[in-house]
Amino acid sequence: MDIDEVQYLSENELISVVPNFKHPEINLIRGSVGPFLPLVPLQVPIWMAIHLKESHRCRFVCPEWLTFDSVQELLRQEQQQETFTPMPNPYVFILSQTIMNVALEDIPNGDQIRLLMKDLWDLRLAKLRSSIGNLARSGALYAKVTHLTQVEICLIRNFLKTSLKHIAQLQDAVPDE
Amino acid sequence: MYEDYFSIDDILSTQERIRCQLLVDIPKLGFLESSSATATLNDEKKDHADEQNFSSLTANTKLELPYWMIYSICNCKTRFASLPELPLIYSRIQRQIFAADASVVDLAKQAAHFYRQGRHLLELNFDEKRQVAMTLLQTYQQRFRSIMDASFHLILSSDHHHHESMKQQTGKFERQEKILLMLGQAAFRDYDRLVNNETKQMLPPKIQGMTTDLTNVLNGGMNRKRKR
Repeated sequence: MDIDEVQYLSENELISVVPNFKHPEINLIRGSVGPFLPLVPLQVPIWMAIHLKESHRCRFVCPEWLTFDSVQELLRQEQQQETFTPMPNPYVFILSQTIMNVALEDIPNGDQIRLLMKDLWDLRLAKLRSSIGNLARSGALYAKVTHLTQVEICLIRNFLKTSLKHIAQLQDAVPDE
Repeated sequence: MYEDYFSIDDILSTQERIRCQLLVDIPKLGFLESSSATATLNDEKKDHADEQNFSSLTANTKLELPYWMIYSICNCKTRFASLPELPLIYSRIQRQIFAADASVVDLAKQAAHFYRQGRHLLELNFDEKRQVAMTLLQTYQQRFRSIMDASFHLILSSDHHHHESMKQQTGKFERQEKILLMLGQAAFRDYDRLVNNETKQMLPPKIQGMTTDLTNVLNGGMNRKRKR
């Protein structure tokens, strides 16, 4: 899966919006999106939310995991643990970017959250690099890593696959005596 | 062992010449003895051409033949030749250098197909096989860290300081390592596109002919047509 596909899939997650128009229920293939009433919050998929926002028909409600405090809490937990911490959503990094590009004014402390997210990203990337380095150096057969987001997996997939293939080939060539 | 018939890496890495020693007499191939790079006969020697063509190679002559030929004659049931010494990069002295610190060795200059050629060599029979194999593996593991560091930093063409020091470091990588480097960088370039919002642009499709796997890896991240 490339980044494009991951981004596409990430937009299927649900988010709360507050519409400012009235519309009966819309029936989509995946399910229906409930009747739109002005000033009544409801859950819609993010792609629909972006579309509505860009045509000035709704206002975003900040999701719980994107508030300043929860992001700070995530960062603190990540700094304490050596392994990866579970993320509230498998697409945190992509979604935070997408939401902030479209609806920055709806998120309180948007800029600070952006900085925190960047710190979180750098921290996780550094952990990834050291664990891959250890894997290659020790020549172990496999390593178990949990709680990685899709974006990070996408980044390292090709690289890790090819390098482990090389190591396996070289290990096979060692004759047993 | 070989990837496929047309694999350029295989062709390049198997055509390096290796010294071997003949075990039996071979008739009619005496002209091979005088040649190392070219086998053309001069005009002056044309008189002796007939005699030279039919003289035989005695046993125990040392010849330099390309690897693909040696593979056939060293491994078959009636062995025509044996391998007295390995190419310089796999010798004991070099192996000690690798064991000390593998990341400073300039593999691009000394042996651009170090790993692949080593793997081909390990198909032949010679002493010290296990040491050579262990050296290959450990060298790769030692150099892996610097490949990863280089590939996870995007090389921006606008940043000259960074560019020069990176170039110096990656100039030492041999072919297989360079492929790995480009894979890592392609992935990061993809992520950069995401951050800069370029993934949602519609681009015209690029018309490609037959490309190798490497260019597919690089091009896959750059031109994508997205319909929304």
